[in-house]
This record gives sequence, C-alpha cells and structure tokens, in this order.
Amino acid sequence: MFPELISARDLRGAIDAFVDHLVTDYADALEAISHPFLQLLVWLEQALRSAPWWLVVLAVMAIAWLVGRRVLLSLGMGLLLCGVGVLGLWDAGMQTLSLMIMATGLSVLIGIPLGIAMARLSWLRAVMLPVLDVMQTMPSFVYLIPVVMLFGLGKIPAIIATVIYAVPPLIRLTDLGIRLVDREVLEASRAFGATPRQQLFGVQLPLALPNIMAGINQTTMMALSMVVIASMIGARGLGYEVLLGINRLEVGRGLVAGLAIVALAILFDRITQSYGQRMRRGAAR
Amino acid sequence: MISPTLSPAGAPAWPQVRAHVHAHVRAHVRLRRAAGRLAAALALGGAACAASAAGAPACEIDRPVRFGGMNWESNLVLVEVERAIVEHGYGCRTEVLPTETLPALAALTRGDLDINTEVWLNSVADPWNKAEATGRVRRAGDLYMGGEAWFIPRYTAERLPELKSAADLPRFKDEFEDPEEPGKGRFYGCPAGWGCEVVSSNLYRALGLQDSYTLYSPGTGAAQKAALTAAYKRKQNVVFYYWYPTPLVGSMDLVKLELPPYDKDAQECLTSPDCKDPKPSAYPENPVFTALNTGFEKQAPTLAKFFAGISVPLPAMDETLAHMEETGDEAQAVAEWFLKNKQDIWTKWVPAEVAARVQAAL
Repeated sequence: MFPELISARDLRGAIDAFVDHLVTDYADALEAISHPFLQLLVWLEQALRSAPWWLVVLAVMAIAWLVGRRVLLSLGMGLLLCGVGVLGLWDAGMQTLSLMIMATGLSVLIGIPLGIAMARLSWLRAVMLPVLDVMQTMPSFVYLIPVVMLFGLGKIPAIIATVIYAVPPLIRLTDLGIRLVDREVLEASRAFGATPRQQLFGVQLPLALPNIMAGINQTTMMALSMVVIASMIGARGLGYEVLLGINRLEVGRGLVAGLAIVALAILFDRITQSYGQRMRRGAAR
Repeated sequence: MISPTLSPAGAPAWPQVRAHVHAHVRAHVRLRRAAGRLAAALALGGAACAASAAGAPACEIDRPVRFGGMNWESNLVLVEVERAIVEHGYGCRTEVLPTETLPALAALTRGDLDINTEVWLNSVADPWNKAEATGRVRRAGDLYMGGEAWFIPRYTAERLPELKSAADLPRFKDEFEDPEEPGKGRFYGCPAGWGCEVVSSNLYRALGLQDSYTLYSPGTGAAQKAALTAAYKRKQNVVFYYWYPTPLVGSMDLVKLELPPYDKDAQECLTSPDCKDPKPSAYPENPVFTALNTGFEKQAPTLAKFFAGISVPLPAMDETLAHMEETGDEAQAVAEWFLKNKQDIWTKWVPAEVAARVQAAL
C-alpha cells in the first residue's frame, strides 16, 4: 500500500463541500449569466425546427456551394441531410444541428483568439498545454455532474461539456498554424513596414488558415462525438435517441440514430474540409 | 456500461483482505527462494496459511458469482452486503458487472449474470414476465416493499398551499417554469429508457399535462439526482418523480402529490408503452425482489437458499441510505457499516456458522 500522506476521504469531502458552496451561493448568478446564451440557443433551435425542411436543405446546399464551388458536393450534402429526414429523425437532427452550430461557434470564438495568444506569448503556451491535456482526457462525467448542479439540466451544461471537450484541437492547430508561418515571409512584411497588427491579419492568419480550418473540422467532429454524452444531461436530439436505444435495448433505434449522427458528421466534415482545401489552393496560387 | 465512472461496483470488494492474502503468497515465494536458515520461518508461514484455509469453506461453484451492478444506491449497497457474506461466509469469489435494469435482465436470462439483487417488479412488469416465461430466471426472495410517487419539496408545499394533487399542476405551471420552453412548467420524469419512464409519461398524458408541462426525462439517474439536489439546496420549486427507499428521498423533506386511488386496470395500461387511453392511478406498492438465474440455482443450491432468505425492513433500509448520503461513503463502506450495525437483520439470513465466519472477517 502507498503510504497515506493526505486523507483521501477528507480531500473528497473538501471538494464536495466546495461544490455545495458554489451551488448554494453562486448558481443563481451563473444561471443569469448563461441565460442570454440559452435564449440564443432556444431561438436557433426553434428556427431550425420550425423552418420547412426544404429550406434547411437548400440553405445547406447553398453553403456547400459557396465554400466548395463544386456542384457534386453541394448535391451530396443536400441528399445526406434528406437522408436524416428519411430515417424519421428530422426533428432530432435539427435539435442536434442547432447544438452543434452553437458549440462550434463558441469554440471558434474561444479557440482562435486563445490559439493566437498562445502563438505569441510563450508563457501562456507553457500554461495552456497541460490545461488542454486535462480538457481532452478528463472523463467528461467528472465535470458534467458539477456543471449540472450549477446550471441545471438541459442545453447549457451540454454546450459547456461539448465546448470543453471539442475546443482543444482548434486551439492547438491555430497556435501551430501561426508558428509555422515562414520566418522570412514575416521578415519581408516587416521590411515593408507592416505593424504587428497588420502582420497578424495580413500575413500570419491568412497563411495559417488551412491549419485553422483543419482545427475547426476536428472541433466539429469531436463535438458530434459528444452528443450522446450531452444527452445524458438533458440535451435532446440524436444523442438522446441513441441513449434511449441503448437503455431500452432497442438496437434498431440506436443504430438508426447513430447513422444519422454519422450523416451529420460527414456533412460538417466535407463542408469545412472543402473550405480548407480551397484556402490551400488559394494560398498555393 | 455507458457510465462506468459512476459505478464503484466494478472494484473488487474488501481490497484490504485480498491484499492481505496476496502478501501471504508473496511472503511464501520469497521464503522458498531463501536459504535453509529460514526453514523455521517457512514452516511458521505455512502453518498460518493452512490454518486460514481450513476456516474457509469450499465454494459450490469454481467460478466467481456474478452480480448485476445496477447503479442505484440501494442495489449497490445490498450487492456489497451479499458479496461480503458470499465471500467470507461461503468462501466464493464474486464479481459485479456494472449495468442497467433491462440489460441486466437480459444478461440474467442468458446466464451472463447469476443474480440481479434488486428487481423492481412494477417498473419491469412486462419484460420480467417474458423473462420468467423462458424458465431461465426465477424470483427468489422478497427484499422489501418499495414505492414510487410524484414529489414536491416541503418548502414548495408551504409556498403553494393549494397544490395538493397532481391534477392541480396545470394551475401552477408558472411556478415550475422550464427555461427551455417558455410558458410551460417542467416536470422531471424518470431517466430515459428506465422502466419507470413509461409509467411517468403515460401518467403525464393521463393527467393532461401536455399543454402546460414539458415531460423532462433526464438522460441518467446521476444527472437527475444532481439536478434535483441542486434545486433543493437552492430552494427552487421542483416537481418530480422519484422512488423510495433512496438516499434522495431519505435525506430531503418531501411531500407526495396526491394521485387518484390505485386502480389495477388503469395501472396495467400505464405500464404498457402502447397504452392508447391512459387513466390516472396512484402507483401501487412496488415489491422489490432478488432474481436468480435458474442454471446458477441448480449449480449452487446453498447459495440460492441464502439469496431466497434475504429481506430488509424498510426503516432499516432508509437508515442505511441516509447514512450513505450523510457520510458520502462508497457502497462497500456502507455495506461494512450495515454488517456491523445491523447484525440482528442479516444474521437471520444465514446459518450460525456462516454468520460467525462473516463476523470474524469484519
């Protein structure tokens, strides 16, 4: 046996007491802060669910066309989304889609600035790397339950859990992309008198964009893989269907919902990838 | 299975005892390798081992006894109590497979599990009857009478003195507001996919709550408990389904909402997922019993007899679960507490010499 240096039981007790204290004293404030996000999310979900299905399909096809400029891609994406509807999961799919859009949007808002800051400040990098490791490996239920106690069951804890899990690759790849920008190119821009701000937005970010797009792509994939976990804390949608299928031993329900998740994953993946590819081709030219 | 982090049941019971045995074995190996001058010590160590081996009876089956580790507290604690008795009293090895109600029943039917310690009959009436009809599972002993109800906290009852019965809920929907569905209240039902979810949702329809409340099925029992505990600590109004005996009901001051009196036909319809026209009815008392795989029963008749004789008075169960909630101990520690403090209960389940061996191991 390893010698007992601190009492594990007391440590656990102290953590429990701390969470209890947070819940009784700060939960109302935290809920008030999260309320605007919830309203935005509810609005987005209502919009997607109440919009006619063909409008959503057309919108997705239009986005696919704009980012990829390939007719086949655009048609394929439309068909894929119709596939989700054909499986009878349109409503659940739209719920998951709105959650994904919100989680990805928040991840981009958090991840890209953090990645840029990490590339410029080496001390921040030294602090952030272990934090990112913890975020990616800590079993999500460990922080899910306290988050549920603070924010209540529902969409907000689901979004928080998803962002915690999904944002690290975007931070890492943004950081990497900026640091990989050729030193000579930067020097040349400096020689032409570019300010640090101009260097960042005119040289570093555009050249790092393929990497950043790969990061966004990874983030959406990881966010999708969280939907089943998110459903355990009250997020509706495809993950909930999978959970129902598992708990009720209805293999068919689980499998069909799983396929719909895969369809959404392919959708997100192809669209973000083709955008990244176009960036790269543009950069090569 | 999907929430392994929640089930401490996978860990072996009584690790300190096992570590002790391992230490013995390691000591043996070291001694054998040592020179002859340690022969006396070897003889001493061997004698000690032989003595402890003579005290342990042979197990009826030469594989671990497999328990279904359904992840609610009363089941976890009783499984650990039974494991302690089976290991120390009957000299068997045991293991627990973390699982959930319906998968556990399927596994018991297949023979992948030997014992489902707690089967809550009303929640799984249909699947249980089907499983029993195969002849591969049997209802062994009745543990206690559990129950289910729709609850509000005492402070909510004081704030809303007119809210007495579940049928009054629509009038008070604004008091239980669901932030995600403005204009509706939120009723916390049973976790998704659990047997009780069917009854909750049928009852919700029978009471005509569709227009005024969302039926909120938490994804897991842990998330449900976390949300309810947090709401209770913050003195928020909640209305929810829960079952007892549980640490949650034992440790909170709750008031049951009245439901129309129990009606057998109405209840039968409520438990069916295809119920066309549900009528409200109170929850019946819920017999909680132990189910055994019949193959296991034939292989190990003595153990089967032990499992058939187990029963726990409801107040003792409440006390045990409240102890669990207060101390925050794991199921194993609570089981140990139970074995030490409730000897008058468990010694009735086993012959005197078995009880003596378990007491010696405590």
